[in-house]
Amino acid sequence: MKALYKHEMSSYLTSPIGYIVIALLVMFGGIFTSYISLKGGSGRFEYVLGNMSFVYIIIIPVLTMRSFAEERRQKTDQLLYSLPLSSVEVVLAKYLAMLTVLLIPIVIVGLFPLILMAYGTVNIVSAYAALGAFYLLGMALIAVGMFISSVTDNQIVAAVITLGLLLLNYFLSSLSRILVSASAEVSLIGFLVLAVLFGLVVFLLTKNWIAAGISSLAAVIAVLVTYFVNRNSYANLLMLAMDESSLFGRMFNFMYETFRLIDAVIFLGVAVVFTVMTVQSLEKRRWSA
Amino acid sequence: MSVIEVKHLTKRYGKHLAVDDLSFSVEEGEIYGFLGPNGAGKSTTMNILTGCLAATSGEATINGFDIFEEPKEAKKCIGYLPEIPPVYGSRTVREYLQFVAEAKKVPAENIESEIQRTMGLTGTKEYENRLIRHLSKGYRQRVGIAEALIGDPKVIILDEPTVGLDPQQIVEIRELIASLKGGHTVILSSHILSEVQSVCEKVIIIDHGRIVALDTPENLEKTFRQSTSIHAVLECEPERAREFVEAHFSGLPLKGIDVGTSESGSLLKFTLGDVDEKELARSLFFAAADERIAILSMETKRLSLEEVFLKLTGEKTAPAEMQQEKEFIPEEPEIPENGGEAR
Repeated sequence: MKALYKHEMSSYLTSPIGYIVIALLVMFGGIFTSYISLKGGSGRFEYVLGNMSFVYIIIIPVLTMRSFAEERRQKTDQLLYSLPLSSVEVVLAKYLAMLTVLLIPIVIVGLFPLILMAYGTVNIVSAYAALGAFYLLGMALIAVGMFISSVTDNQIVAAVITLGLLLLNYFLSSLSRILVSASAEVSLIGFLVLAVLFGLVVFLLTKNWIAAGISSLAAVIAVLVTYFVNRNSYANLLMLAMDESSLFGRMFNFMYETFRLIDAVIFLGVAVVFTVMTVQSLEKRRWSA
Repeated sequence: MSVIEVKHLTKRYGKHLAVDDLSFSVEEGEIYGFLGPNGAGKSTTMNILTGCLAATSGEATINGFDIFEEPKEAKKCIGYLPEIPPVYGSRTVREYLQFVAEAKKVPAENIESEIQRTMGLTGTKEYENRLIRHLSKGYRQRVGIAEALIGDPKVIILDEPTVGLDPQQIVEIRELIASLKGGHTVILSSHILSEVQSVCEKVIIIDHGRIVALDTPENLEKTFRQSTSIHAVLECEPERAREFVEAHFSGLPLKGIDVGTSESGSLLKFTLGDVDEKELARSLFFAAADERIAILSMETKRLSLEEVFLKLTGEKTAPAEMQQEKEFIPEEPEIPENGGEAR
């Protein structure tokens, strides 16, 4: 596993990708710090981080797109499978390498509050809490991108899907505002659509219509049952759900010095879930490649 | 002692059966050739043996380790070169081999000597600091072979190792493979018969996911070289031609007989085992003369190993003449159906 990690690290650092990721994050860190702190005179570094979180929409797809898709296209995945490494080790080595690449610009940006402190007051606790959250958000998003890369053998497709998902997630909070004072029926329809989409995702992952049908049907029934049992709670439920599933929205919480442990736990949870799903995706490939 | 043991291995892709109840064992220190037309299941079987693919059912052990139950232990005994060499274009030859050696858990102090050894064996030393993507196809193939050899694994599995090489390189790689004999067990797949014939001690012929023959190349050849066929046009009724052959050749090992009609008489095709073809032609001539049956034309045919292979695997690309001959295959091939040589 150490060997693969080393190999991945040197791949990132001998190709432009690692440097693009590092440069973009440091550049936007610099721009927002100049704009908010130097020009705007704010000592709240968490503002800088919250505002620059959109950079992830660009750098995460760049960082993750190759991870598994390119191995499959070049057929080098066969080497990884035939080496004495388990799928878990392969996924972890790649994931840790990406986290390390991301850590480099985070550490550089982490110097900024210290520099600012020389010229004014900075709330160091909230600044570094936000920086930690910023990294955790990155961990969650990398796991998502890595999973997408593991289900395709085309890195461009992986990048575009990841970009689309992150963009949607970024605007999810704002989009949910459309649904303010929406009726329970609107929520119901929304959830039914999601239940069907869930079945579609299951199909894409398993290529099995029966499994997809059953999971879709189960989700539809669950939605209908909860709707008829407690109809009132359905009002605004869709808006609430959209708001809650916005990872970027959780990052924005840190901007207002509201450190909620639950946000950090959810970032980690998403990271774990998608890492496990990536392992499953590799295992599935061994069955049906 | 058999180092690879495969029992009832089956791989199914949806409705397609890629490997169908395959069983064989591979003896230590020997070189096995896996022969079969494209799509016969060679690569699938190799991918299963090396842990790249899971099987639908059946078991496979490498050096006593079950590839499905103890994959890590089993994989430590294997060096694998897949159909497409799994090399990273953005790495140099040395970096790549270094990575593979570390991943195969070669002890740190031996890594340098292993890299040197495998580069030496495959003739890639002069390119050690070149990026692999700048190498020609042949050299990439060599780097792939170096990857399989690194760590000196007991079992080396090579999927079409000479594809894309020039004739000179092919000879070199064949010599390299032959030199592995004794210390290593090698399985190489190919659809080139002469290649298998020149380096392998055992041949496994596979078709539609099934083993159709497992024997030494010499035995396979002997078995089929023993068959001599005669095609003759006799000026008589088909019934009479049949009676005539059965009456005169009943003492000989008659393997198959087929009588049809042609424009000028009966077309007689028959196969005899272990008979001198010249002798056979002569006795047919005199026997026919005694019976006052005119032989309008006569041709003796021998089966080459290529034809054996084509017949066994039912390859469609056989020349037209052979296609015609196909109906004439003896019902029961002489070679054992399933692993006659397995000890």
